Amino acid sequence: MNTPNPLSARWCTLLTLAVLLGTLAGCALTAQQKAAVSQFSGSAAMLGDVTSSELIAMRDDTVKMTIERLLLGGKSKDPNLGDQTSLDRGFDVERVETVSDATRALAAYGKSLAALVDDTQSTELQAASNEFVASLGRVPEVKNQLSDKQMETIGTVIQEVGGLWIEWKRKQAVTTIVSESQKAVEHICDLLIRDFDPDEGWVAKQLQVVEDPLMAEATNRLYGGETYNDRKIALEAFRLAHGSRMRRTEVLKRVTDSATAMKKANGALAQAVKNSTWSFQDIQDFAQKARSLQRAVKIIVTE
Amino acid sequence: MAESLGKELSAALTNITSLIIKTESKSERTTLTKQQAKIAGQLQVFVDKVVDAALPEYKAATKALNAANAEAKAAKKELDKIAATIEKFAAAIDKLLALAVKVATAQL
Repeated sequence: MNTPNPLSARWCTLLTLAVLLGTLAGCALTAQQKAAVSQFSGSAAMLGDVTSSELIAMRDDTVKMTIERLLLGGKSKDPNLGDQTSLDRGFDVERVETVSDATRALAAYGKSLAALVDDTQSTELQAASNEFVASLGRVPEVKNQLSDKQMETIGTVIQEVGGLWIEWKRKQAVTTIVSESQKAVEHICDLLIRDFDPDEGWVAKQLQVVEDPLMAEATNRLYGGETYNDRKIALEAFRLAHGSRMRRTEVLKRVTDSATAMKKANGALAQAVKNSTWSFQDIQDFAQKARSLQRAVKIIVTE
Repeated sequence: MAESLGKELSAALTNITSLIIKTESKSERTTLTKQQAKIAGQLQVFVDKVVDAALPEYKAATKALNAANAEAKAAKKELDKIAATIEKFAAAIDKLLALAVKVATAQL
């Protein structure tokens, strides 16, 4: 009667485990699903980061425009407008921080998803399995009973089992996180769509409250300006107001367009990770809108 | 109702600013600039009310999304742990081997 070799038994267990986990291979994200998550997450990070930096730029512009208006026209002509004690009126720290916390959370969501689908584990897994096989090979009993080829196969099995396990966990994590955060993402998108609308939103109106009184003071200075320097001071104020107006018309529209596209793409992403029947179009559309926002901001900042 | 007030104030501000830019008479511009400041002040009050209502909505939505982000980070750590676990097994085998050598040496 043959006595079962304990090492061969372990070897069989590993193989059985590999076969079992092999059946889980279908439970991993497909290459297309990974591509969808990657494209969505990159665009979400872009929208969140650009909008956060634009809010800070709006605050900086507000301080500059209020200073310029006070320099040109003296004390504020209405007590509700910003003055020497409230240069950042309209874009004070609490407002900017609260809204940019939300846009930064969108960016963080994108970056977290990207980190989850990026395969950083394969190399580590390979190194770990090599180390494991090397350690195993140093045990004399193992070294005597297993050939180099068998040891190599053990290493491959460990890598494959570990890899399948990781892919299975990856899909579970992405699916859970995308569906659990769907409402929160949609809510933030809705808030951005409502508040950044260039015609209806409060952000545009707030910029106008700061810009228009500066335009008036700059106009008064330009009309009364008799020297080159007088006119230069007036035109510097116009330039500031113009920059802010560009943000109000161009950037706000693109933030709204991107947030609208993100809301739609987020729904498509939730479908994409759940099943294979979904459309990539909404995610591509979002990517295109986020890039347009980034390009517009680059142009305005360069100006 | 509130939305239309904001829209009307914004439109009035746009119109009066255009008028200031076009008006050549200094005294007329002075009068218009004072009126413009009043309208801008009213629009500021309107915006303040809208923002006061909006900020708690942002805070609540941010909190919900940050909770999901924390979960995503924890899941990423879980994925990274698998290679580390295999490495720990390798280290354990080496330690056992070293212990076996020590025991064998002591028995001699």
